[in-house]
Amino acid sequence: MTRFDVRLMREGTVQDMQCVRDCDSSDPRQRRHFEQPVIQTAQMFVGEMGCWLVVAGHAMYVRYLAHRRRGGSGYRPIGLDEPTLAADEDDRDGRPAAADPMSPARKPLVANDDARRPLRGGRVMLLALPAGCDIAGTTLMNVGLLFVAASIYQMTRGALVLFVGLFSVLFLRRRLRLYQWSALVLVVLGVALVGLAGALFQDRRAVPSAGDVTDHSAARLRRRALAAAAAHAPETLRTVVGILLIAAAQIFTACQFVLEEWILEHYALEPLKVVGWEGIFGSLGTIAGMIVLHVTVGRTARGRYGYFDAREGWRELTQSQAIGVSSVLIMISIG
Amino acid sequence: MAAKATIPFLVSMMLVTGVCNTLLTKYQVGDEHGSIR
Repeated sequence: MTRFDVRLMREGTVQDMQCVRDCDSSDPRQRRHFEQPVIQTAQMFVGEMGCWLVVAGHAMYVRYLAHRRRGGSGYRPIGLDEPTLAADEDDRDGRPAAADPMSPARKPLVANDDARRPLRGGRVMLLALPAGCDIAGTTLMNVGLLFVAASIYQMTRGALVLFVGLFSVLFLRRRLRLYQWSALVLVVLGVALVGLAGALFQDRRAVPSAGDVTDHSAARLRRRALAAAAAHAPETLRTVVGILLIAAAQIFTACQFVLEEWILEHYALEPLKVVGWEGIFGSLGTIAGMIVLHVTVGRTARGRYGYFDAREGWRELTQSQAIGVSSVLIMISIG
Repeated sequence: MAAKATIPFLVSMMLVTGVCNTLLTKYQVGDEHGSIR
């Protein structure tokens, strides 16, 4: 068995694992892969809701185990870094009055004690705004990921820093110094270079063979170049569209970050709870959007088997083991 | 000492899980070449 045969078997196996429809077609281009960016967005928000498990675990630890670790004498060591009057507040906000300074790992589980108002009650709905931006940004990025390689996708996301910098100056009245603006320009140049390279230099496997490669006659070379350009054109267009979608998505993600910064500037809430609440609002918003889009687009003849066909997406998710397992792993990685 | 190592560990975990998330998402959709590139 040659190296080419081994590669063909491996890549065929990987491809077949992701194939969700018309997998038996002799023409590989007729086989359909998993293309459900909205469902992938919903997966992300379900993973964010997993933060509530950590919050619940910490609350149970503080309620049932922290007392035992302090001992039953009723006396507790006075914290060197924290005021003694805070001892009565320990059980409420979950921070034991131990002598040790707070571990960095526990900081996301407690609210900062400062002049900010606690984010409670109806004000928690404020977190629906960044969640909405996250829905738009993540869905656009998932659509863009369908068209580009993972490496180009990740590098294009670097454009986020530019938009965050701009929005911080515009809306949060931050001031950036010259060296910070220079850094942003450099990042944008780097992202542009990556995108250009991805669009210009396609995967050679996408180019069909144009004859004997040992024949370097001028006419043959010209024919091969034209065939390569023709074969590359749809790939190049796909790559450009994917990069533009991902770059545009960073606008929404930047809005999300700026909104979160504004909210947390004025209100106090444990960082893990912020993520958990955004997961809840994002999940609800995504599911509501999926229902509306399925009814208006997915059920129609044009929308069937498309991005908004929720029924088909659910079938693909539940009937393909590879997609189901990878979905669970994605949720865990997000959480 | 443990506290000093916590932050680099958490940052590393954040980067690793981010990479895993991207690769898993691309694995789900794949491409016509059967790779995630």
